[in-house]
Amino acid sequence: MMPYLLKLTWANLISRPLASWLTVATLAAAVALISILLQFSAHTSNRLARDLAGVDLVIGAKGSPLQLILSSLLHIDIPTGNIPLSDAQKIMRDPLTEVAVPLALGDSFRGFRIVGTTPGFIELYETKVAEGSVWTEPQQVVIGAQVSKQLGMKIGQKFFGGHGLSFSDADLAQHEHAAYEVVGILEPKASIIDRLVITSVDSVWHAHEEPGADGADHDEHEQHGENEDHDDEHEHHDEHDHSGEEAHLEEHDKDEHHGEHDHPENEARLDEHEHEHQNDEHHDGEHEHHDKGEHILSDLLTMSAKGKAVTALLVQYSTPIAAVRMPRAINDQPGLQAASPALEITRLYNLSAGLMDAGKVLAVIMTLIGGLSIFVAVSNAAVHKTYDIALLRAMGAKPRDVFLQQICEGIIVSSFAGILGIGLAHSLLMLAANIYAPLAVFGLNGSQFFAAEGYLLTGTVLVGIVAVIWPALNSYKVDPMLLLKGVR
Amino acid sequence: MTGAPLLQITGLRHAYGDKQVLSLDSWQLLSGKHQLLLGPSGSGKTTLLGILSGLLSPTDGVIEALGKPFDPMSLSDLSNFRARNFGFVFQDHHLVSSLTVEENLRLAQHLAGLSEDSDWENQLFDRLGLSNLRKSKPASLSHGEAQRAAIARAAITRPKLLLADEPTSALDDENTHKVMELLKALSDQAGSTMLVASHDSRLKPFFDQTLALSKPEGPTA
Repeated sequence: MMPYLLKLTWANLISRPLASWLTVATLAAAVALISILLQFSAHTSNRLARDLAGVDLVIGAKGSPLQLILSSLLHIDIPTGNIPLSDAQKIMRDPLTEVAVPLALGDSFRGFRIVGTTPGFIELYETKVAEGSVWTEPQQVVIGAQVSKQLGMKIGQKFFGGHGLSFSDADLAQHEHAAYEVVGILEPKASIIDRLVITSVDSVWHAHEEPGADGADHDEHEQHGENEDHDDEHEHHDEHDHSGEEAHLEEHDKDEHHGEHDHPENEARLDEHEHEHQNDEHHDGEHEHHDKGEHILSDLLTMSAKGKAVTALLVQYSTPIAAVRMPRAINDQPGLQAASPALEITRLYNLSAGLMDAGKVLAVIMTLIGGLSIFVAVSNAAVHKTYDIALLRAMGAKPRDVFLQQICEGIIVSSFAGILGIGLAHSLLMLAANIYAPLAVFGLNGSQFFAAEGYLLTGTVLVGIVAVIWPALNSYKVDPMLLLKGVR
Repeated sequence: MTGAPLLQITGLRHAYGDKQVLSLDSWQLLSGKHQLLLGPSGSGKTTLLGILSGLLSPTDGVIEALGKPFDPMSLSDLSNFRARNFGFVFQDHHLVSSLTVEENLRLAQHLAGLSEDSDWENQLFDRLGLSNLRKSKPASLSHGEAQRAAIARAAITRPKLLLADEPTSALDDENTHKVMELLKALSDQAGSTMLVASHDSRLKPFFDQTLALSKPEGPTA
């Protein structure tokens, strides 16, 4: 009986297509709205947990603490400014600090942020290099899985960064003197690190030194290297005087590859003549004539901090007491602020709570309307089909079958609406992520299904069942004798 | 096969509130003996048809079909019994409106727990001139086509009892004759016994027996 019951139910539904589709559409719209809210909520909590990467404190320039968190952890805002490396070094050496990862931000490549940092950044996000290796020299980069996938970038590929979060190729010519080379691709982590281009802090410093300029800070740059003259011809500087850079140079001297050479970080250059000003073309090893000193990475902890700056410092505490002492101590310092990701994200939640609540209320109202719509549609159909129901009973259908047939109708309509609504929500988010970059950066692109959506589908079906119980009971009670009474 | 009682009534009384509409001390329908329930409007023939088909419980009395009393049967058992043994042709030729003619026939087969019988189905469609209307919805059928489709639906399960309520109302003599010949022929072919309720005395020649029902005084056999 059951297959024929379903067939009859389906026949009933398609016999009144307009009413059925309107009912489905009404409920599907409600489901889509709820699905979007659920996805946003579930994704936000999952994603934030991953993106915050267990960071207890973000230290950066004074400004909005929320902006500091958004720019340094979620990478969806511009940084508040820079902090002197000397201040960062103090924090890195602080016994209350377990882990301190510096960030040098400011540039991007085709919408993907370039992050100057240390390999500790990759460890912070608990991921690893899937292909290639971590950088060992300035201008080498490791790219996130999404960067590789979306831009089709591979190991060995070279490119130039541009200021800010620019998408235009025209902007990418801003750092033509400092090409990056991909040396590693990270495994996918479903977190912000998938969308980052990660390199050494030296690389970012170098990118922000203008060839031939005197090294003064540039307003349009968020990150600034040391102020030295640049030498585009790549001479070796065996006997250069590098006052103020002793620590750095000492580090370089320790490098067995470059024992006697002084190599300020901003000497690292690519021979521009070998570039044809194409942003991401492959170069088959034609740039292998750099100074030896260019291959040295600075030790940020011990190098001379004179004139150096980083954008932020991601800190994990060594002890819980640090949560009390460290933020206060840092905020007391001029030019520095400490922002707690947990506090700021809570604040962000609170800011958006009103909007989310309004969305939830709207979704509940729409669901009720959707349920009512099913009730009205099925009730009307049941009234119009009273003789059909009586006929079924006369032909031998049990009252239970007639009841179940109505319930089936509610289940089919609501299931269809539920699936359509959830599908619609994911499609809309996919579309939105394609046209609204922050959604893509945040990773909310509709491609992920959450357990809560399973509950949503179940709930929608329940709404459908509840909506048809009354008409189903009326059908159950239809007296087949009315066929013999001949009253229509 | 004739002779075995298909339906049997003992001490039947039925009333709507205080008004008794039917009283029948004893009556039986023998298998293979087509019978007409003849009476004017209000004589209780439709009520009797409802009671005999198990759609209506009598106020008093015992109804047996194929030797089984209806009384102890549950609603579910009675539904199954009806689906397997009875076929109905209603006055308004009711068909399930959302299904095609063919699907209406298949529904009857499914409800009776029978598998599809294509040969019999084709015979019925051919005999009733419905071959081109198999995929048609009831709403697109004419009055005559709908009546023939209803007859096909009633006969598809080869029921032991084929019940018809006023099958010839509003038909002229020629069409009355055609419909009754068709019903009789199909009943014989299906091995069904026909029980027809009608006010139309023109039908008497088509039946082996007639139960005449009258209004107030009760029935006379």
